[in-house]
Amino acid sequence: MKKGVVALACPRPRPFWSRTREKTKTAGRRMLPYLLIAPAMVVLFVFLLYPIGYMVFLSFFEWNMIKPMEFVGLQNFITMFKDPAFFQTLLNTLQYTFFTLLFGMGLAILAALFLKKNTRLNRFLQSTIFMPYVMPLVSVAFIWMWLMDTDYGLLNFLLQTLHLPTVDWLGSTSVAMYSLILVSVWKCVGYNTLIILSAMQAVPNYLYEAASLDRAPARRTFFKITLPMISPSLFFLTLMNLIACFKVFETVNLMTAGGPVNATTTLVYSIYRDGFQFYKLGYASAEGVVLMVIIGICTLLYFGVLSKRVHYR
Amino acid sequence: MEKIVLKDVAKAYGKNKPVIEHLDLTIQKGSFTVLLGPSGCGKSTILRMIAGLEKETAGEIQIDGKSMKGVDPGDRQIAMVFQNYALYPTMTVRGNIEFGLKNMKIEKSERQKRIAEVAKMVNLEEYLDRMPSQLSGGQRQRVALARAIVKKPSVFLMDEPLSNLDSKLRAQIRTDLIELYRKLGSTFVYVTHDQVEAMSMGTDIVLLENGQIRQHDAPIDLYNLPANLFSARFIGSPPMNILPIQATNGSNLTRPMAAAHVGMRPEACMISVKRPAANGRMLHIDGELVTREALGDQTLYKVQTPYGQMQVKSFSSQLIPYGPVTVSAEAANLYFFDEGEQRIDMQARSVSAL
Repeated sequence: MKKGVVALACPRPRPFWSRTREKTKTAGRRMLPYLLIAPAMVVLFVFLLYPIGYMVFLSFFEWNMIKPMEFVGLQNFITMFKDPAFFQTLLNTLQYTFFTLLFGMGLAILAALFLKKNTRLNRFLQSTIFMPYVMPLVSVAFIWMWLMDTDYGLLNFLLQTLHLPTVDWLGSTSVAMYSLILVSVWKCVGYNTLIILSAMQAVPNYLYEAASLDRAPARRTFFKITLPMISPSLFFLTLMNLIACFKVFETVNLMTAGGPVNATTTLVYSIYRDGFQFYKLGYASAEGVVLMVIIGICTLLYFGVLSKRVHYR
Repeated sequence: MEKIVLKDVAKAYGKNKPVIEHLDLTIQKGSFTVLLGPSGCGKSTILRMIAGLEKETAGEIQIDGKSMKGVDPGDRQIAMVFQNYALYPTMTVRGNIEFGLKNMKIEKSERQKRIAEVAKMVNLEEYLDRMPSQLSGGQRQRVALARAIVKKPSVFLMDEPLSNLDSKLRAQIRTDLIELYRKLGSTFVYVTHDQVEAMSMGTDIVLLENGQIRQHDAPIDLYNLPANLFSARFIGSPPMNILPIQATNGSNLTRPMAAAHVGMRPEACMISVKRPAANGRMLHIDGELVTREALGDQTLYKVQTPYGQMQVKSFSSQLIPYGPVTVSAEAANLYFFDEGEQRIDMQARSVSAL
């Protein structure tokens, strides 16, 4: 009786070392969840965490895959930050990312506004605009190379028929980057449109009714109601596009090979070239660490902003 | 003076059968008109047509004598309170209230003055900088009201604004709305399916069924003088007992020739164990007591009679035991309805003594 009262008075759980009987009874049960997630964790570790760790490890060494590894401390990073070509690479990547985001999102919002009305034509256009997204990037790159060919390409042919000066799409230092951006926007705009469209269709109609009773003109309704309501989707797309842009490789490799004169060398292409063409694996790893940090910061920013912006839900 | 006039209005969605046809309705200036009816009777559609959110398929709607054809909702001098409040979730309470004013291009100092005024009126002063998601249902309701009031509209349209609140809050906001109506003196058009709301707040009730007006009257007249069987059954809780006219056979009562149904309100009925002596002024119907609900101040009885079930509301604290009973009603409290379910006016009736 008295024992029961004491137990009631201090409901604190007993420390783990005194739970002998419970332990044997429930040890199996307590291990079960860990057992169940083990396969996933193994995959995660082998293919994600271990390579990342190894990359960070490699970035402190000099290694060409033949000679033994040589520890150089922060030398790779120092060399990198002293190299103007590296900054050119970073700038190129930022330029590519900025314009792809700007046009990829901007055009997608306009397209979504246009396609919002559920008509038969719009449903057809929706699937059409989505098509580039399902095409493999390598074939896309080849098609665009063909279109952008200086002498035989369709784009220059069209310019010529309109009596406009032709453009050296992939061979000019000032144009090549924008050509890559064009391809990237063309590829991502359909996906973005689809996501934005579904977000717009999820905005309850009564908000628009309330706005019309509040005499809100169309533009104000868009900026004050539609845009804030779809902002979670916009943020999501921004992050996804941002990461995809920072990782751009296929089009650069196939269409310009980083040229002309490094005008289109982006971070990932630079990593590839330093690592697997010049066999400077330590240096390439250091570049990889920089990329990882940039994407990490973007992701943190995203979640910081998101948690602030979406609390109305 | 009439404020809103609907002339021969019809509404159909797509190619479906019209939900409203040949509707004529006049709403007086300064009235609190309640559109009352069961769900699907078209009451919300009427309200939304007045607001301009739905376009009438045929007919004309006038506000202040002017046709509203092609006039945007924002230009109709109206404000609407939605059933789900329709607050802008991305704006603060202040932003919600201010949005309409900004669109009306009202100056900042005036805006602030009006917001302060209205916030005080609906007790929202402390919540102005909160987001709607941080408010309770009742508070959101008040924001929706504030958003409507601040625009100083000449007509308030309310679409079941209380249906998402619990019963206690509903009763409170009901009295608040009556106070608001008296204070503002604007025209209110209020949609509900709840007769208590209609009776307690309305100065006019428009009773609707299947897109048609069954009766348009003051609440007390709707209760005392139902125009037809539908009104009689809809108003009152529990509803009026309606029996076939055969129930009056052999009762020695005067009844109109055309009568097909006889009705009596449960609260006008008496219930007793012993059958009282017959006289010319009372109707007695024998039956069997089926259920009994004692609510404290009143007791509801359900009685099975040969003519159908009847309900009796008794204010006596003496409970009647289960078993055979007699339901009685005074002749003056009887309503007679004809074949077409219309009430027969007892002043102009043609009497046939039986």
